[in-house]
Amino acid sequence: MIIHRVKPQVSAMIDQEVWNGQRQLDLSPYLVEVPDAGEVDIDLLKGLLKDALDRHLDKETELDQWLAPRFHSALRIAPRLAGDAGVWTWLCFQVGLPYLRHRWPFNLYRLTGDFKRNGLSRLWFFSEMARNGADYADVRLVLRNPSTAQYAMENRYAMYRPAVIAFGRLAEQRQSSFDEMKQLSKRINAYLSLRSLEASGYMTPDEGIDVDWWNDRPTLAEVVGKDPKGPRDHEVPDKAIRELMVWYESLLPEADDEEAV
Amino acid sequence: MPQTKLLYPYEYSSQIRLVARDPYDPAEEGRVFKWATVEEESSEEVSTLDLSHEDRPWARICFKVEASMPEEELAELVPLGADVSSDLHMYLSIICPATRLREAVELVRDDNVWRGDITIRHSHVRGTVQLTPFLVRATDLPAGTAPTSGLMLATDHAMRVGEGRRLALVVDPPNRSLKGLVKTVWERFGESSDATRRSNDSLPFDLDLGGEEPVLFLNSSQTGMRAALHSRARTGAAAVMRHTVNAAIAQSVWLQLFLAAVAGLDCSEGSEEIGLPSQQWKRRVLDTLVAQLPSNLPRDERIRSLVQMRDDQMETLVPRLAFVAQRVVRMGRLIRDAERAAERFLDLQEGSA
Repeated sequence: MIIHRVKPQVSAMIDQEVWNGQRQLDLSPYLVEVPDAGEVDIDLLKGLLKDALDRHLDKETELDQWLAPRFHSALRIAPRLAGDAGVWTWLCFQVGLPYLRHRWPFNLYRLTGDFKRNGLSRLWFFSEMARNGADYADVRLVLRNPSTAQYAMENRYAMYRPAVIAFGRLAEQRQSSFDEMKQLSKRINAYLSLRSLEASGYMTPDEGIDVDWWNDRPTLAEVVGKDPKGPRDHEVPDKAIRELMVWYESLLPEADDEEAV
Repeated sequence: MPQTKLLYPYEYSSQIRLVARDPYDPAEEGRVFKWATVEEESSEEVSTLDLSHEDRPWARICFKVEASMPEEELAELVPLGADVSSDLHMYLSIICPATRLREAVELVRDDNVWRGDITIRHSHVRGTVQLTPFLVRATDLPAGTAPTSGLMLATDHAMRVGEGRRLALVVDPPNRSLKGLVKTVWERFGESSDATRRSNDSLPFDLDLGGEEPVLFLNSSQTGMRAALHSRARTGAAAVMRHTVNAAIAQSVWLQLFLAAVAGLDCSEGSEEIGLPSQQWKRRVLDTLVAQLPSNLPRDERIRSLVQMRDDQMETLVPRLAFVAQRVVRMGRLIRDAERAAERFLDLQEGSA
């Protein structure tokens, strides 16, 4: 199906009945075809989301961990297109409502919100930002629970891939609590007014992209399989991750102190 | 214009000068980018490299950057006798908030200038890309290291010791509070093919409702307004101007859109039926308007009340539409943003005094 976007004016027409599927919304006045965006396999996405719900996974700790890498692997779109909030609103109406209803109570921003609020775009962006080349293992770490996802993915430092991966690994290694991650995140943000994140764990920008992977169209069997693979680009050097983890750890005693106070 | 000075607990420079030049697309030999540069005077001194008016798609843009700073300023950032190349590293930060792109390119120092080659893929960016040079301490300084100037030095590696003016690479035209409903075109009114705009060449904008879709013409002769609307500055004159110009234009535009949409409602005498406007954009504007009217009435009744006011009580309708327009553009927030931008600017000035 040709990719469309939904104009933001649709927000005024969305209510609990639309969310519940009790009222069908006529999107046609708000629909715009996205030039040169190509097509998306709607059946594949529907099948994947249904498969995820049929597994009856814990929705706080297991569902997104399982689903996010597979959703990213199934929806091979460029970041430029992913940055269009209207496309995510369209996808939510095309395939997402059953998953959204299962995952959250009604909230308009799950359909029309920014990258971290829209129920489907967060799956894609969190996977894109936390993958290490073709390896989605770190995506599962940052989605181990909602608080890790919040502090690993939603701050400004979370735009830097090595910083996301280092946060997830440290949280997993320490089995960090909500409070510990909150304090650590506060400390990172405070120090970054004087310190460079990139210079703390430098990664040379990867100018190449895995064209074969991005152009390939996987099957449902491939994406629901045991170990989906991402594109072999944007691999993060271990050194950058290690250096950032060391820096984060150096902030933790201070975070503990503040917590004690 | 007053200058802002940020305070750091050690020597810090904001004197880095960044120049970007020679843009080309490696996939298209000989292509010349129309790389419009808009200089701004504001506390953050953001310059704009505007690629949003390119008439053909581009896949990649490559360009060279050079960062430099006065030697005497540089000398204050390093210990006595230190080698600048090994003690300080210069990077160019590349951030695209819309696509969550964040990376940095390390620049190479040669002959007192740091140079680098930058490549940006069109498929990885959207809106505006922020390019900011920054200088960091490359190594931990031993305790007690003597600074050149007798002032404090940042002692830990990765500490930022300098930053330069930001360049805003505009990939797509800004889409502000009009939310994609209105096409925006910059035009020099004095040279417009439209006689009305030509004869009003000192005015800042004109909304054309006569075509298939509304088009907002912004007068590019108003260079200060253009710089302000492209600016990403958070404080200072450019930020205050951006918020207030946005508020003024957007409110006026929405009011005109509402009036046009209500005028397009058709209610034949003696008929209960109300015909919606034939143009799709007017129906969308009407949806926005109706959603903002008191919700204790069904949608049809709300539309009917608009028609009644239009036909019998224009003096009631117009102020009501003006209220809705202010709500839609979030006028209060824009004014508060302008106030905050001015307050922060004044605070910084006082802090540095």
